[in-house]
Order: sequence, then C-alpha cells, then structure tokens
Amino acid sequence: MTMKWLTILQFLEIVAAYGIVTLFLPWLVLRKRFRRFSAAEQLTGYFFAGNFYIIYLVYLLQFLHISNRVTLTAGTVGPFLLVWIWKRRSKIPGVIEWVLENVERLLSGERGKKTSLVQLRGTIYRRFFRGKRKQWLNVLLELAVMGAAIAAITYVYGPNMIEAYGYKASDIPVHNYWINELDRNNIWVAGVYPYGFHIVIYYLHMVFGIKTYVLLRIFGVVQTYFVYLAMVVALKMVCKGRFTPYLGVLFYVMDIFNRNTYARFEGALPQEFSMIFILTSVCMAIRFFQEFAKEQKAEENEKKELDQNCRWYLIQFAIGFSLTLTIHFYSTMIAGLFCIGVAVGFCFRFARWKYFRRIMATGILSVLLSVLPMAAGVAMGKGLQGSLYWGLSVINGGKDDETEATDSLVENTELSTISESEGTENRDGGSTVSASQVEALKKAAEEKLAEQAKEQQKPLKERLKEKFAAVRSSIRVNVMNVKPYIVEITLGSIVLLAALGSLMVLLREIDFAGVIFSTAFYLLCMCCLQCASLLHLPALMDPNRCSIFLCYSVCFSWTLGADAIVHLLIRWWKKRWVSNVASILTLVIAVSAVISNGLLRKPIVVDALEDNGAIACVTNILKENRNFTWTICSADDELRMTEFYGYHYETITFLRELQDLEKNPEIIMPTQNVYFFVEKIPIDYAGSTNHKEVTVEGAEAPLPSAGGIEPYFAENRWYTMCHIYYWTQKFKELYPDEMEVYYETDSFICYRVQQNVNSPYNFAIDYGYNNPTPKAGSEEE
Amino acid sequence: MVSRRNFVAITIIMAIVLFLFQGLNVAREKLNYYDTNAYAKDKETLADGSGAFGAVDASDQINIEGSRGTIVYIGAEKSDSIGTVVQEWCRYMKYESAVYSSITKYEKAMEKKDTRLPEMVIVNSENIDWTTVKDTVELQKCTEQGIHLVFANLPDVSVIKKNQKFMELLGIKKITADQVTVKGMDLYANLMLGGENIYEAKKQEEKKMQDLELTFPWFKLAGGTKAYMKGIPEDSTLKVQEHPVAIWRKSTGNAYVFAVNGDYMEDETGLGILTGMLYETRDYLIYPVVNAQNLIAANFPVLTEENTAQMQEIYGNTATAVNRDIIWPSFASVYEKNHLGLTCMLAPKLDYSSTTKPDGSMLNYYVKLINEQKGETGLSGTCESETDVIQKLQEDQEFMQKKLNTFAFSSFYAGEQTDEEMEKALQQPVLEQIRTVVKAKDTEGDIVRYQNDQVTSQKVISEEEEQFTYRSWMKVKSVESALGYTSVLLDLDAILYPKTEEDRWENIGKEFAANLSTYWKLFSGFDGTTVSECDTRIRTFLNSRYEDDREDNAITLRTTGTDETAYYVLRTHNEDVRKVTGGTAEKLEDSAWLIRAEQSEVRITLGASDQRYYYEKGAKNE
Repeated sequence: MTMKWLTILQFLEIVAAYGIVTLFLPWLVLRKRFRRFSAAEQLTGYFFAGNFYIIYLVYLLQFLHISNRVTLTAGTVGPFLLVWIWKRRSKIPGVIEWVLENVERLLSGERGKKTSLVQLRGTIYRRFFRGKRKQWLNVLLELAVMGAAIAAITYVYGPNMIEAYGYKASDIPVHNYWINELDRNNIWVAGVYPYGFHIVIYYLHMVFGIKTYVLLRIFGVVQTYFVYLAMVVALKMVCKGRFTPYLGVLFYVMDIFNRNTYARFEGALPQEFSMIFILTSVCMAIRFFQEFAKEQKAEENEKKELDQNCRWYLIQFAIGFSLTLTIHFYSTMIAGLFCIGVAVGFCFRFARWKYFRRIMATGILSVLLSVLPMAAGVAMGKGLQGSLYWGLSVINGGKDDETEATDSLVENTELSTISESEGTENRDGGSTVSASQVEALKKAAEEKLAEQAKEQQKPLKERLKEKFAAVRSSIRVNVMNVKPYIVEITLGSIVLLAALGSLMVLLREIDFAGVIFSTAFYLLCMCCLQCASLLHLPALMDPNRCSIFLCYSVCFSWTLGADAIVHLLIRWWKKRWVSNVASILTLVIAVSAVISNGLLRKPIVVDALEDNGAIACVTNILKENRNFTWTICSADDELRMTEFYGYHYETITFLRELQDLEKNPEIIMPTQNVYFFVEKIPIDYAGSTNHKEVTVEGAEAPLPSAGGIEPYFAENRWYTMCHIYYWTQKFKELYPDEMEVYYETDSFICYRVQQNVNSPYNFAIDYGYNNPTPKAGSEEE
Repeated sequence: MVSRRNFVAITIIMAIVLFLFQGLNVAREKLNYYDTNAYAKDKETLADGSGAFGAVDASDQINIEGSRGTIVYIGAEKSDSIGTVVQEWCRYMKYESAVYSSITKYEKAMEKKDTRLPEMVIVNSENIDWTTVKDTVELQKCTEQGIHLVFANLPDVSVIKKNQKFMELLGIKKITADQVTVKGMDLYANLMLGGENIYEAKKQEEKKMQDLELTFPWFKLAGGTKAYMKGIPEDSTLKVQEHPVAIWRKSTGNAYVFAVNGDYMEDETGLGILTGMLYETRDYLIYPVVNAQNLIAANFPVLTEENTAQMQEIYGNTATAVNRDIIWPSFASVYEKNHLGLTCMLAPKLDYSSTTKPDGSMLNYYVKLINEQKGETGLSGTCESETDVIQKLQEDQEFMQKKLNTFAFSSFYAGEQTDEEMEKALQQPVLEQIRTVVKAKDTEGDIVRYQNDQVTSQKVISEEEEQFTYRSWMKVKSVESALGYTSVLLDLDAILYPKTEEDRWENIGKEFAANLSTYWKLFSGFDGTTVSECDTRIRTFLNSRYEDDREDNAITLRTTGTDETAYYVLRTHNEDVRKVTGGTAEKLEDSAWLIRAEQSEVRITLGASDQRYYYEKGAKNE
C-alpha cells in the first residue's frame, strides 16, 4: 500500500474517531434536549459537549492517575450508555424480545431471508424517507453546498497532507513528548500548560488505538476542516441568508492572504485547534443577547421556554469560551476581543443589569472552568510551563528586545521555522536566540525609540496620516501582501459594516444590527492588535500569530457584510424561498467570480521537517516488528514517535561516541533489528543548506559540537548526515550481508542490521572520519 | 415380507460392504510384490565411479574436471584429521584441493606463472612458523589479495599473546584469560542449517550429553568481527558481548578471516562449518547435496529364536516375538512420525554358532511388512557370534535360496568392516546385486563415496543405541548442512543380546523416538530415502559438476555429468526464491532452499526476502 493511501485511510479514521466522540455520541444523548435549536446551534452544542466531556474526563482520570484505555473507554461509553438505556428502560425488554423472536423465526426458517431484508428496507424507508421528501431535498441542497465547501478545503489542504508525511512544525515533537507523558499519567510534565489539544490527541490515541505520531501528522488537516466549518456554523447562527455563510469558506480559500496566515494549518498545533471555538462560542453569546431580548418582550407562557433557551446559550458560551482557554491562550484573547465587540455592538443591552450580570457571571464561570484544572496542577506543585511566563510577560507589556528579536526573526520565515509560543525555546527548553542577535536588536530598539521621539514632534494630522499609512503597510506586509487593495478593502469593510449596522438600526432590525456592529468592532480590534506596537497599544501577541486570527475574522466579517447586503436587497420580499434563492445565487456568483479570476488558492505546500522515507520506515518498522525488538538510530525526530514501541539512539550521540574508540570500544544496540536513518539529501531544517547531497567533505569536517537539536539544524544537519552516511558505508563494507538496505529513495536511505541479541554487533568501528581535525582556516570561517 | 426389489437392494449393499472390507485387504496382499526387491537394479545401468569428482584413476590421476576453483590447505600432507576433512569437503563442493605443508611452500607454488589464486586458504596452526611474524605477514597479504583465510585451529595462547599482528588479523582485541571453562556453547543460526543451538546441560539427565570442549582461551573481539559460536560462562552476570568466542570472523574489507577456537574442524563437524564459512563470504551460495535421510534398523528382523532365556526373563517372550510384538510396532510408529526413509537390515541369525535354523515364514512376513511400509530390506553383515563374515554370508545365501530365492538384496550393512573385508564379502553370491554398503559411524573414509566402481558406500552419522551427545548433535547438523544427508542407525543386536540395563528396548526405544523427533525434525525439508534410493542420489552427487552465475536477480545453474535429478542447497542473505524454471525450490528455513534440478539448466529468480508493506512511489525497494 502506498503511503498516500495509508495517509488517506488514517485521515478518514481520525475524522471518524473524532466525529464519533464529539458529534455522534453527544447527538445520541442530547438530541432531544437540543431539538428546539437550529441545526448550526445543535452541531455546535454537540461539538462543545463532546470536547468538553473528553477533556475533563481525561483531566479527572489523570489527576487520579488511572487514565488508561479501559477507564477512558468506560468513562466515555459508560455514561452515554447509561443515559441511553435509562431513557429507554421501559422499551428495552420489548425490543430485545422482538429482536430475539425475529432471530428465532429467521433461524427456524419460519421467516425467509428475503422477507427479512424486505422488511428491514421497509423499516428504514418508513423511518427516514416516507413523507420526508421535501425535507430530504432541502437537506440535499445544503449537503451539496457543504460538500463543495469540504472539497475546496480538501483541494487547498489535502494534497500536502498526502505528499509530505512528517511533522510540519518544529515544536510538534515537544507536544508529542507531552502527550506521551499523559500515557504515563504524568500530566504537565514540563509545567502547567493549557492541555486541551494534547488531551484530545491523547484521548484519540488511547481509545481508538491510533498512534500518537499518526495523529500529530494528520490531525492538523482534520482540525482545519473543523476550523472552516466552525466559521460556517457560527455564521449560520447570526446570518440571515441560508447559504451566504458558506462565503466564509470561499473567502478563506481565496489567494488573498499571505502564506504565513494559513500555512500553520498543515501542522497539528494547539493554537489552530483552539480557533474552532472562537467564533462558535462568541456567537452563542450573541444568540443570548438576541434571545434574552425576545424573552423580555414575550408573553408569560412563552417566557419559560425562552428562558431555558437563554440559559442554554449561556452554557454553550461558557463551555466554548472555557475551551479556548483550555486549549490555547491566544484564542481566548481573540475570543475576548470578539466579546468586547459584542459588548459594544449590543451595548444597549449589555449595559443593562439583567444582561450584564448574566453574561459576566457566565464569563467568569467559563474562565474558572478552564483555570480550575490548571490551578489544581499548580496546587500540586507543578510550575507554569516556560512559554506561559513568556506569554504573560508579553501581555504585561514586558516584551523585551529579545522577544522582539524573536518576533522579527519569525516574521518573514517559512512555517518550518515558525514555532509555537514555546518556540522561542528549543526542545530542551534553552533559548535559540544568540547573544549577538540580542545585541544587534538592542541597538535597533534604541534607534526605534529615537525615531518615536522625533515622530511625536510632528503635527497631529500628519501623524495620523502617517499612522494610517503605517497600519496599512503593516497589515499588508504581515497579512495581505498577495493581492492589491485587500488591505483597503479590509479597513473599508469596518466602515461598511458600521454603515450597514446603522442602516439596520434605522430599519429597526436591532438584533442583526447588534451582530454587525459587534463584528465591525471586533474587526477593528483585530486590526489594532495586528499593528499594536505601531499604535502604541499593548502588543498582546506577535504580528505573525495575530495575522492568522485577523484573516479568520476578516472572512467572518466579510461574509456577514455580504449577508447583510443580500438581506437588505431582498428584505421586502418576506418569502423564505426568495431569501434562499438570493443567498445561493450570491454564493454561486461569488464562486464563479473567484474561480474565473483565478483567485482560488493553489494547494498549499509545506515541507515536513522529516523525510517522507523516514515516516514510511517508521510505519513499516512498527508494523513488521514486535515492540522493543528494534532500535532506530536517527536524528531526534523519531524519539518521541516511537517511544512506546521501540528504542531510539540519537545519531549525534552515536557519532560522538565513535569519535573516541579508545574510550568507547564497544557500541552495542542489543535488539534484533537496528535501523539507521540517513538523509542522502539532508532536509532543510531551520535554514537552508547549500549542499544538495552528503559528500566526503562533510564527513571530513568535525562533527557539530553544539548541544540539543543544534546538530540537526541547517548546515549542521548536513555535517551530521555526512558522518553517519560514511559510517554506514564502512559498516556495510565490513558486514555486506548483515547490513541491508531496508528502504531507499533518492533523498533517504534506511539500513537495517539484523543481529542475534545474544551476539550483537559492535558498531564502534573506524570509518575513517571518526574524529577529523578542523582544516586550517575553517575555525575563522 | 421382503419384496424382491428390496431383497436385491440389500444384497447389493451387503456385497459392496463385503468388497470394501475384504477387497482392500485382498488388493494389498495381491499387489504387494514383496518377493522381488524393487530397489535391486542391474549395476551396469547405474552410474559408475569413474566420473566422480576427486576419484583417483589407475594412473593415480585425480579427476578434477569441472573444478570450481582451488582451496588451499596448509597443514600436514598425510595423517592430519583437519586435512582429511578439508579434502573431503573439497570433493563434495567440487573444489580442487591443494595441500602445502608450510606457508613458504604455498608461496613458492603461487609464484609459478598462471597459478590461479585460491578462493580460500585453510590453515592448520601447527604448520605455521610462529617464531617470526613472516608467516603472519604472508597470511595478511592473502587477505589483501581477497583470499579468505580459515584458521582451523589456533596456536597456544602464549604464541598469540606475543604476535600482535596475528591478533589484529584475527580481530582479537585482548586476551581476557588464557583459559576459561564454560558451562555450555551457543552456536548461532546462519553458519549452519537448523537454527541456533544451545549446547548447555541444564538438567541432571542432560549432563551426560555434554562432551564438547568447554575449556579454551578467552578472547575479546574488536569491531568488524562477527561471532558464530560462543561459550556460555558460569558467571551469568557477564554481558553477552563479553562471552568467550569459539568461532568467529573478522572482516578486512577485502576478505574474511575465520577462526575456530577448538577442535571442531577435526571431524565431520568441519564439513558444515566450512560450508557455512563459504556461504558467509558470498552474497549467495549454491552447492550440491545428496538430499537423503535414512533410518536404518540393523539386525532387524532376526529370524531365529535366540537368547531365549534372557528374552523370556526380560520381556517374557521369545526373540522373534520380541521383534514382532514389541520392537516392530513402536519402531514403525516412530518411523511413520518422522520423515526419514526406512531400511531394515535383515539378520537371518545373530548367533551362527547355534544350530537353530531361521524361520522362513518370518522372512516372508517381514519382507512383506517392510514393503508395505515402503521400506527396503537389506542384509546385515554383522553377527553376535565370532563367525567369519564369509561363512555367515554363505549360510545366509543358503537360507535365502531355500525360502525366498526371487529376492535379491541391494543394500548391505557392513558395520565396521575394513575395505578389504568388504571387497571379499561383496564377492559372495548373496551380495551379487548389492549396489550400496552402509558403514558404521566413525569408520575410515568419506561419508559418501564409491566403495568400488559399481558399489557406493554411505556412512552412518548417528548410532542410536549409543549415547546421543552434543557433539553428535553438532555433527548431525554439520553433515545435514554440508550434504543434506543423514543416516541414523539403530542396531537391534544390542536388544537381543543386552549387556546392561540400558540396552533394554524401553530405554533405547524411548531415546530413539525422542532424539529422532527432536534433532532431525529441523531437517525435514530433505527427502526420506531408503539406502538404495540414497545410493542413486549419492551417484548423482558424486558424478555431477555444476556451474552457477548470477545476473541481477536471476541465478543460472547448469548441471553436467548426470541425467538424474540433482539436488542443491541455495543459501542467500535476505533474499527469497521467487521463481524457478527447470526445477523446483522448497524452503528449508529462512534463507535456505532445496533446489531440485530436474533439467540440466535451472533458472532461479530471487527477490528481497521481505518487502515493505508501506512505500512511496519511486522508492527503490517498493
């Protein structure tokens, strides 16, 4: 089977597993309670319930140190099953009797197989199709549009998933390590950190048996579908048109944003996962404002139901908002900004005590919900994870030159160099910013301060003009450098939304006006956040990260604006079908325009930080061998991937031991199989290398002496690979039949040594370049 | 009342039932042509010994036509046990063997113009001058020329200690101790067929099996070496890499240097070790084998009532009854459960000094019974009394003439008779049709060879009435690896004339059944044969020549010198046989196949032994 097909199957497996837990099981239990809400709200409710449940279940079991496959499965299925059985307790005996009776009749031949099949078909028809033709037609159109949206997302993000198999962000191995530690019931191994994402991956791994490294390879794309569909669902909650929400997906797959705003979607990262909950949770708050207003005006007999609805929206808001904080703090900030937007947009209601106390209490509750487990962690003696201190210092305005340096370094780099908040540290927790860089950037900062002082002396009008130009330029550089006028359109859309909101007020559509004002203010906030340092506002996050959220909010805002315009045009026709036709027409025209103008984004290409051959080998090794009967000698990538299945020997450790054969006369890897991973063309890891292939010159150079993962960075990786390549060549010369090529591509080769564990080979050999002395002049270089 | 119709139907059914019950027995009786020996053939129609590789003709010329190369042995030219093994192995592998008593002589021979370099030099350390490093340097030169070296034994530790160059040549990093006594040996898989074997007596009853050399010098190996056999030290806390090595290899990049730290090359065990070493030097090795697995019951059945008093005392029965009712049922069941072919070497009498006559009816009974079991009936040449073999054979001839004169023996168990005695015996009328002679274990000469131009000789590898030891096990394994041949003998003379408690059937039979289904099971890929069937294969094996070459994944094997199916063992490294034309291939174990060359040219296509289940398009081994 090709790796492509395997990846596709694994993707479907993960989608199915995640879908079962977060949609199907909650639907089974909650569908009657959620029935009175719209499909979008129900979906959001199920999704929130599913994620919330599994995250807190894992927290609980981890705290009790009893988290394992059995407890997790029992904890998941048990309550659902109990509720399901409890609800049907009176019917169950009858159903069992009916089933057994039919089976008996079938086995005794009283009833034929054909008759049974015909009856089954009839039952399915009666249950799902009879008299539901219109309903189905209605749904089919929706499904077709959703299918097209999914196809578009697949077109943009799918090919890369099946072309590059490795991790696509440098910090995924760290997350892998933290998730692996959950297997050992050792939560927060590196300190307290929002673990929502890790828990979801861990849960899928434990309950469905999908290996963590497979999840971390593929879940990035899975969560991207959810991010896109979450936007559609959120828009469905607030938009007037039925199909206009799908414009959000269309805008988000258009080639109008910088690559860095969407490239991270290829990696399985917490920040992107948390984006699913931003719009959906805040839209629940919006729905509360709308529903509570209705309740205020409603008749006494309707009040109870509306009150229940309001509570439901508030609960969903609390869960959704807490999930953002449980998964990634940045999303909480963005959701918070949107909440501020909602407070502004619905200020006429928010300012009223009835609304205020409810929404504030919910907000506080949601924060408590997510902080509580982390507080418990701190109470248990775990410190905060390093990146949280960094995040807090940024929020506190303590962004020092070093951080700015990191920001500026990060800004214009490829995804492979982009790291998470903890990305300023290497995998061992050490800083990757050198002292010389800090010095240089300190100077730059001083110059900047001097420039700022100069600027303050200019007249206000000129300063405002300059500021606007700077903001425009900043957004263009960081977010929308691809096509002209997109920045202007974005900034203009704030004004347009404000105008549309005002128009809606005049038309007495207060609820909708509130949504539009909220969105306009949210977009304004996002633009300000993007250029916070230029506007002398607290820079809550670096521009590079902010751009990802800004694009997401831009697509949301544009879609809402388009929906408002369509609504304005057809609002006088009260027929529902007119609205549907108008919205689908708008969608079709927009899609046609995008495709005909070539605005659809090309499939994204993000290089993996590991050769495809290495992933193919790991997959084969895991399939072919019993656990712990093998060792992989490779760069550090496979260490966490295979932690629970076999042994790992790091290439650089091995090569360093070979440097002194007197000191290390024996290097033994006492497993039946030993695999050596060699990149014939070293991958581009954190900086390009000038060398295409491994050569003897690389082996003649001394081994990189830096610690941590430095030996696998940029040029160092080439030296390391040259050395291991020539070691394998020498070993193969001495053991031609014992060392075989296990897997080979143009860029990668894996050797396998099969050995008797009672007589393992001594890998300590003189390969000619064990400890080369640096050539004269190379020191200066 | 039964209707006529029903009556007819019942009658027909009864007739069918009767036929089914009786018909098969009648058919078995009638179709059993036991009175003639199916294995007896006109010797003129069989291949003779003149074409055998390594045969010496009247003018003392050795037939080395079709030689595959030269193997040099540096050791004593005569009466050297290692040299004998090496030369025997060369004959089987179709290599010309050149024996030099010293390195100097070898060098001189190599200096001659047009002298082809040997593929391997096997060294008896006793014939090396250790007083200087000259010989060591010369041997090192051999490896530089790409010639593989085999040290069939090692010099004294004191000599090795002084010779750093020699230590480097062998890949010895240091001498941990001059001597170490281990509790057992571990022979790893791959060198020989049959997988890994641990020769360690863990239980009290296994202690008597331990007869290996357990005290030897303790070397620690350097990098670039591979161990094939190690001792298991008394100290179980020692790391496996510290265990003392008995057989190992050092790779120089150009060639391999093999070393044997013990006496394993001094008997037939050396045959398998040498084949294994040759295999280790190649990416694949194809070599001819006999492919015959024989089970021989010597002096069974005995047709005369003998030693009645002792038999009555032990078994409560007469000798013939013990044969028929006690030995045969259990012996036959052991035979049926294993893959070896059966040959019973009939003994009309064991005590020729007595006047009791053998029972003719028993002769018919056993010959028929053995024939039914697809076995062969041969004639035993040994007896309990000290009767001259010629006289014994004359009496046997007389008996056979009277009782079953249509039956001619084609195989003969000669026991420990010398070649001269055998030649005389073969002149006797009763042995006129003999085509092969079975000789006892450890007798002189090759395991399989031509006794004379028309009669072959095959040696017993294991005698089951003796104690089966680890050394026997290793020897069995070695001969199976080198020749695909085994010959297990159970001499029932010991049961009819027991000397100790151990000689009782319940003891011998139990050991025999256990050993056969344990140690030989690993070689069940080879064919079970009677000794006469084995004779045909021996002739093919000795007379055939072969060539093989490989192009990409295809090996072409050409056989000459025989029209019969020739058998080969193909050993590969991490490759599997994918397709065979002109013959068949059966897997013996991982990386080893039995090739039946039905035609003179066989084409074997190989492929990687394991392919990756998941791959990328364009991967080189997808």
